[in-house]
Amino acid sequence: MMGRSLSGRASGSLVALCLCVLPVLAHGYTYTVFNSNGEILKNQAIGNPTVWPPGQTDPLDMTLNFRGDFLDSALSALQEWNDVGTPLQWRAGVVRAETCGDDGVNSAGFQLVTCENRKFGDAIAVTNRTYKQFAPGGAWYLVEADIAIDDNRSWSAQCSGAISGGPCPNINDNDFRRVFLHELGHALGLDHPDEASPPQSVTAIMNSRTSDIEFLQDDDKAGVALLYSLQGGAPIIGGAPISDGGGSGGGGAWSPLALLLCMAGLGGALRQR
Amino acid sequence: MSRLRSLLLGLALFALGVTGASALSVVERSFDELVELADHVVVGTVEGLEGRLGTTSAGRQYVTTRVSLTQLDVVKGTNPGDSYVLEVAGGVAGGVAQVYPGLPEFKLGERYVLFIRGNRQDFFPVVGIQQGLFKVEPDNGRSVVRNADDQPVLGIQQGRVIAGVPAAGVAPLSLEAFLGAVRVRLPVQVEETQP
Repeated sequence: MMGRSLSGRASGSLVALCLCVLPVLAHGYTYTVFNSNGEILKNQAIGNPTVWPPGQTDPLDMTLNFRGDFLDSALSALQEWNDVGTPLQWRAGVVRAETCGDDGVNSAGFQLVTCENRKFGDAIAVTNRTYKQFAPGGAWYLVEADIAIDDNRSWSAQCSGAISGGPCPNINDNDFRRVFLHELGHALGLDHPDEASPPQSVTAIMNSRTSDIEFLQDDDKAGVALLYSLQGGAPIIGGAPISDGGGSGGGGAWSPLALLLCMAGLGGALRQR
Repeated sequence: MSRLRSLLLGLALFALGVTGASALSVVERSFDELVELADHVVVGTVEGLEGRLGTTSAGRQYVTTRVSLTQLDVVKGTNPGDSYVLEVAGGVAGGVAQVYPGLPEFKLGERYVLFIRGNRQDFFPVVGIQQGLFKVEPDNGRSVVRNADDQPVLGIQQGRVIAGVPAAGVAPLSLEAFLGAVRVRLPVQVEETQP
């Protein structure tokens, strides 16, 4: 009797866990949240992401200060994010802009120093996201993203695939396309899944750890889809449009494994009755 | 006992697949390099965080955060006195917020071990960015260190930091042992003698 009661309780707990926790754990992607105190919380898996203004349906221009194969790689990286199909689409900017100009123009390029006129140190590429409030005390929004690639290092436009047609010609070269694809994810508002607390274990171009991933993975696509809902219009979190300011969110879709676990738990609970 | 610890650490390394905190857009640094490349290795507590708005010569506005460290224990480098101010990119000032994904964040009141290089020259003056930042936390009456991903440091093996969930029988490395690992890697100071 006691065992049955405990088992039933355990099944009930599992169902509760399914309802409350698993939707959050089913993804790895993370993003930045400004809480109601205006504090910046990076690498968040829950809460309302602070992103480009809601309802932005015009393409988002990014001036690409690259040439030749590097420009081709950059354009293909833009397209790869666009192919996810969210309403927020990149467009190669036609406005001439310095990579680090304080001009409200998103831009990317090779730089000898970062946009603050500092050395890169051990970073090889840096994305700088600028946020502002449209009204005092109102919500913060992403208003500009600049990507600076360290020009002191050696780069290949792409170390495999269609553009270079093979491995990096120089073993010490950095793979520009892979790094730029990652940095574009930052420019959209995504952070590193493996730097969440607790770290998420997913396969993603957005992970901070070195890997041989060259293209967007399911988790990367799910992340940007959450930030800029596939339904169009304002980003949608947990079925409700994002409101200005803080508040709770709870992103994440149900994974097949999570559903299976929940169904097993639910079945166990029903059998106890 | 130390052989057993090494074996357990080796197993932990294998199980965790930990090969160091390398990052996609950051140069991977070994522990030996953290020590070698740092101008200063300090243990300090964050007493203040102040965002400042600056302007480059090209007229671009940018935000930096001044991280004031006190209660210093200087393991490498010249002693800066009672406090040390680290200047890192990003923060909030003058109605502007700038975020650099991947840069670790400092929290008021927290204590850190930092492998500092290029303060006021590099945009984030820590060797290996997140790889050269460790948090100090109490643990059963002693201090232990965690990496920037908040994982306990279990040991230093083959010149690399091993971090992760401790297996049975493996305790997180104490702060003293961690700093000891730094000190044994410092170049030996040869005292000059008068002829």
